[in-house]
Amino acid sequence: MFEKGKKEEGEEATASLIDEDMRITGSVTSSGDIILAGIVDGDINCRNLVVENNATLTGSLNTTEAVIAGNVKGDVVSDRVQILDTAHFEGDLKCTGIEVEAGAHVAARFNKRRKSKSSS
Amino acid sequence: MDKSKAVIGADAKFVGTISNVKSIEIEGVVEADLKAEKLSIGASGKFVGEVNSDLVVIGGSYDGTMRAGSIWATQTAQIAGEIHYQSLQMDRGAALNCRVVHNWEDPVVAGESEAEEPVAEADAEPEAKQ
Repeated sequence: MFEKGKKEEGEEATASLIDEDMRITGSVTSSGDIILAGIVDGDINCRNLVVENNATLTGSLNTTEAVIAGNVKGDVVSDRVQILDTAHFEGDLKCTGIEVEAGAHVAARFNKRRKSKSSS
Repeated sequence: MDKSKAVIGADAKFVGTISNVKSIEIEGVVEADLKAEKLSIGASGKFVGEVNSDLVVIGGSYDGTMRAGSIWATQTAQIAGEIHYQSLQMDRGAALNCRVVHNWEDPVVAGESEAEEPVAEADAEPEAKQ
């Protein structure tokens, strides 16, 4: 009866989607994945994060894996970060693996991070 | 389905303000003030905060002040706080422990049951006449 049964295929129940028009002020915590296409002023803690093209994030990030194709201003702590050519990034990066595509706007301080999750 | 549908997954937690949403589906925990055209709180969803929405489907738990055109409380719904509505549907099993107020807008003259354009009215700073 309720919409529970007709969950779309291929869409994980654990994934959160912040759509284009949506604006969030505050923090987001998830043990799953987040796709950000809107605007977030605040911190995001999650497993995998995709910041889509035209999306804006102002705040810090703590993820396992982050793909940035939009605008991010803030600090990133992540195992892996991929910054695509459409991205504008400004802030500190603390990561084990970083990939920056040619053409990306990056103004950042890079810090190599050890595997352990503790950081300061 | 459509791209302009925001989803808060089952293990996600939001704290803050959410605005400018067309349609949002909540399976996780949200503590926020929200304005949306359509809000759907899934069976595992939990929402605390103020809601302004045209259509609300509640299958999870809600606590706060809700102002909505239509509210549908499904059988797993648990509602606390206050709800202001123009039309309300309750499934068998829905738990309402809240203040329930009909027509949160300017009081409609008795016998005249025209409840149109809730959004336009609401935007123009409704005078609280209660």
